Amino acid sequence: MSQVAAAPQVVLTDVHKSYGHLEVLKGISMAVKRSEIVSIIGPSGSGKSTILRCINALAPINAGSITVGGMEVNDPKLDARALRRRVGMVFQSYNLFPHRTVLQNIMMAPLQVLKQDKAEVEARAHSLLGKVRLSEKVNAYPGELSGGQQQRVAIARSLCMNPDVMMFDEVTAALDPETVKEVLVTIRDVAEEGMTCILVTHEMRFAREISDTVYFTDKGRIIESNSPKDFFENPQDERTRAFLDKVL
Amino acid sequence: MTALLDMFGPHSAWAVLIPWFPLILKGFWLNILISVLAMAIGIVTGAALGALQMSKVRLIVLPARVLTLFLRNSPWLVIVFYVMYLMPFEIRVGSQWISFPDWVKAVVAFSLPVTGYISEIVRGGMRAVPTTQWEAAEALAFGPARTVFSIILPQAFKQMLPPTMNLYCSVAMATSLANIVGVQEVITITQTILTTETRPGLILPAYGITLALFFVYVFPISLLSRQLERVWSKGLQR
Repeated sequence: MSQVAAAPQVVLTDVHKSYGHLEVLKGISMAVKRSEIVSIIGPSGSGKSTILRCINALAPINAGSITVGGMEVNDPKLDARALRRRVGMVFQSYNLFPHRTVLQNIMMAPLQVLKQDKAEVEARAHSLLGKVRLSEKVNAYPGELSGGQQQRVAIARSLCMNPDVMMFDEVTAALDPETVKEVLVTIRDVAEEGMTCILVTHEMRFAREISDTVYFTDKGRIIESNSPKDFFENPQDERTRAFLDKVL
Repeated sequence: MTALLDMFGPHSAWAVLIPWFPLILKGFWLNILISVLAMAIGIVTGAALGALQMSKVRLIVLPARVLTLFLRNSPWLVIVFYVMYLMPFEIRVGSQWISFPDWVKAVVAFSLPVTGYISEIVRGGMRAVPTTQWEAAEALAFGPARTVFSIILPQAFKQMLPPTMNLYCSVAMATSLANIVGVQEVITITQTILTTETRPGLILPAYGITLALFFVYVFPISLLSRQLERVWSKGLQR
């Protein structure tokens, strides 16, 4: 699907994460190479979304190591904001800022956080809006857009920070079936440009088409990982087979 | 017709009261001044106290919470008394003496309950913004202060403005309490007029004037606040 360079960009080593007494991640290890497209699938509550939240330090981990481009996330001296500049994240519920227009949503972080030049950011925002096919909605407010449109704006908003890695957390789960496709097409465009992508998704067909590697998680552990072809056609673990039987 | 003329005749209550009008208005102007200044001070201190209530550190939250509850739940009149008698009438800054006339003490007194109420309004307004907004801002590398000022407060503002306007209406009306400690506001002046004129028939018309003044001043504000509440509750979508 894409050219996979040698250097791993995101590395998780034996990551443990608990919420109170509930251990949600019980030793997660994975390595994502530059420009690799990785899908994480698994039953609800298996810790998929938590993995993403740990990678950009929205959720601090209890043990193990996560590095993003060589930067250790599990470090008390971590500059979380420097990390988050490298890692874009798109949420299930879009989370656009409702009091700002589409264009302002996209420009806010580059202007206020990165202190970039306004004209330059605006040009980039317009080109990203073109890419997600929403140029005509520049001045609309999020409340005036459909779920699929809002999600595409959210993707453009993340991309405008020029991240090294994009994470998509069940981004189509809250959408009407007819708007799911437009968002998947957008993610595919992003992936095809060589962006490193980590997706948590329930869209099995999409995961199969787009991914370089598929990870299957259950109860806080990675049960198996494989190329999409082998994963879907020849699952190794009993739990994977049971899950795929249910969803496919 | 004759009844109407009687009301405005040379010996009617109105005829007696009209010459006093400039003085009554001057008194009412002091009510407005006290309420506006108390509100301005209370908004600044209340916003700070409200922000402290939102802190993640328990050691900060607890005192802020206790102080807020204390200020909100103390009778305004008692606060006015305390401030009047506890605050010095002048203080020395370097070689300069700064004096506090009674009306300034009234401003300080009324700013205390305002601080408590605004603190709660700010806390409630910020709570009403979904936590996913904080998360989205965090994921975009916004720092905490910028998140609050660029993302949370502008959304909370619509939530906070109507109750703040209602609070102002209460403060404006409460300034009449300042007459008890002798501030020359509209009620004190009305009482002075009544003792000067010594006509029992004047009591109702005289207080009627103050009632009308407060109503004409406060009612449009309360109307506007209700209007905003209605419009914005419709417009608040995510």
